[in-house]
Amino acid sequence: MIYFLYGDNMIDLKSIVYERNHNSFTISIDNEIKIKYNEISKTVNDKLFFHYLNFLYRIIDDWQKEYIDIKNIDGDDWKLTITYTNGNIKEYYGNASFPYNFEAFERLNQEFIEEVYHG
Amino acid sequence: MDKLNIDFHSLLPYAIDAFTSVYGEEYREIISKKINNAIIVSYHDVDGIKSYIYHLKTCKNREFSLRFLEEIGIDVQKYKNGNYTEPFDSDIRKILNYFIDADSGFSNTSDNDYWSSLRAFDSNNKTDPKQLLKNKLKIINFLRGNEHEQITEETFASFLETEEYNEVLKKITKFNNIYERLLKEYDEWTIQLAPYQKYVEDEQKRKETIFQKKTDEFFKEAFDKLPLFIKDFISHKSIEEQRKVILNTPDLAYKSSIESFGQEQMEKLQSSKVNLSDKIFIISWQSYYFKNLGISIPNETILNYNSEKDIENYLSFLNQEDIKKFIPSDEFVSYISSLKKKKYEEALEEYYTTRKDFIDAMKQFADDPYTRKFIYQHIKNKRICIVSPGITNDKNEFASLMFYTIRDFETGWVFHTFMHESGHVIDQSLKGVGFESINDFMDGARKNPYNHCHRIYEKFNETLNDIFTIEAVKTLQDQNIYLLQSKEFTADASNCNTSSITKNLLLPLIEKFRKQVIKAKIFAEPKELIDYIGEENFEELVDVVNKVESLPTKEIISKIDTHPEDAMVTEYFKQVERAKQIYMNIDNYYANKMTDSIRK
Repeated sequence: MIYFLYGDNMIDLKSIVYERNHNSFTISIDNEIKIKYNEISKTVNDKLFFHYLNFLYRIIDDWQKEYIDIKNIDGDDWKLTITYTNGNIKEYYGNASFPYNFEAFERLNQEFIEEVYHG
Repeated sequence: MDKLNIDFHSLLPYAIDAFTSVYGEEYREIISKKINNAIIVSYHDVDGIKSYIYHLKTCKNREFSLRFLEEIGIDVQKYKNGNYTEPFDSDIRKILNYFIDADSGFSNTSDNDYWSSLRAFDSNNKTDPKQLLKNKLKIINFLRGNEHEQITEETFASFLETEEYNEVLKKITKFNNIYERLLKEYDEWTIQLAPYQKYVEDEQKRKETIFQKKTDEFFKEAFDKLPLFIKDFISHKSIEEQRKVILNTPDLAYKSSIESFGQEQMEKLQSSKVNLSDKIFIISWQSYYFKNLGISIPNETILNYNSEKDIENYLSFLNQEDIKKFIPSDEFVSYISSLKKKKYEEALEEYYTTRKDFIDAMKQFADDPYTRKFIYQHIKNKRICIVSPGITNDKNEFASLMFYTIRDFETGWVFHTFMHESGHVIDQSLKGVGFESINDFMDGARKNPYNHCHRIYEKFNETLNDIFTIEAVKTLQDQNIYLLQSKEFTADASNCNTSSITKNLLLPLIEKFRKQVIKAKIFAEPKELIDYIGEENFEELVDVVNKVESLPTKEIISKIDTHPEDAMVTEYFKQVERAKQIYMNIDNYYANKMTDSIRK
């Protein structure tokens, strides 16, 4: 497995924010990589982050921008926002409708959070 | 796993009583009938259970941390409110960190050896001696107080020889004894979580096995279709290595190496509008493919791809005749994509539809393919909801269908979410749900102008439902009744689903027209309220709610007191002023209406 190293390399990401029903999971990339989940912040090492990133991009690569089903009484909002350092924003969102491999996306987040918080 | 199965029948009377006390005794019969008629699909979200276990442990960790501080003589009275869902503030974290790790002092004993100062005095602690010394100094200096000169790594050895050290050590030993006793008690408490942990592990294993089987099937079918010369090229490799050439991902949910040569990806590599990171990822996936074939690529490690120039060089490499021939055709890439997606969806469906909770849920319905798929989709997507337009039960009566589970992110709101859904059940009839008519759920219905993912009256309806749900929950909590989870694990739900600042906007409406709002909700007849406040005012109020809910409400709440000049806070207050004007208009409308009716 090739891991990207952080530092003087190519990374041009600023943040990754996943929100579901007003709750969020945020990764901010600055001098260090920080993750915020359930109001608790933790620093993530480069290796783990790029491992996550590599798989994240493999999941979302063919996602459409929006997935909406307004026929459900209770909404189920979700949104993934990837912000680049040059200001570009990549956004995927939906309500009660999801990409076919959304399960893998949530599983990846869960595993990442678990590794960061209890690893 | 019987402990995971919630006995909703025993909970329904509480929900009925609570909503009756909120809506009025005159509605008891309607509320009882609707709630008792509802069909509840209670299922397990394995990730949710995992998070729930973590939530329980985190809360318990806080409780034990406070007990520890109290027992060593620190005043923690203001933190002891019987609820441990909120993170500790910086004051308590600072004190705790002198003794034990504030985050995992109890919940993760393996980390404690490294982080908890008290553990540094345990002769069995094999942590890095430098860290142990650091931890020892931390607690010693804290106990000696600021009036003494700090003991350092350099002066520590001589300090060990002093009588003062013996005195400090006596204290530390006393604290350690308290800590050890509490640790033991905490460990005993965690035993009850073992069956849930086992369920999670068993299900994860079962899922992995199914995914592995489907991945094997995928590989076999994909390999058969691989161009002959590539097959020959890798024929000397092991099956595992051959598999990597095609897939090279943890499972079928991820883009495979071969798919990274698809037309879209190749266009991205050549586009000036695509971010460098995106291109680097595509190159990295392609590099796995070449690497697994045994072909070297420029800048082998990828680490040197820092600029568009590097991307150009890589594209030139792809254009070399001896490389080009290995690039999979679009046709083959499409075949791989659709086969992989098919196998992934088969794996998911097999996993979910063979799970005990799915099988149990299906027992409530006629097992036809449509119903099966419907239930499967809701469980797979972790839905907590009431289905529109409802169903007909075996007595040929209208009934609501509720999906319920414990999800990640909502582990402190288990009680609230159940009551919230019960609130919808009360509001649902053939006409619609509360302020939303059945037509609002149809294609082409009006949408929220600030968020087209939602229906026009959805946020208004949800906000009202949350306000009454919070009231209903409170009537139970005042009697010390907590459903599904005890007080210590139940989080504040004022910002659950809809934001507290949106709810505040509707409080004057409920204060002045409570009866009308309730009647309109329960009979799904908005006219019951609109007649009293005017259609224009009603629509304006709905618009204010939609607008505020479209703002970053969490951020606004955190800045309301500290950053009143913030653009979003300003926008919120603009809407508050707008709401005030609407309420004045409502008062005028109502006064005129009363005058007219007296005149008549």
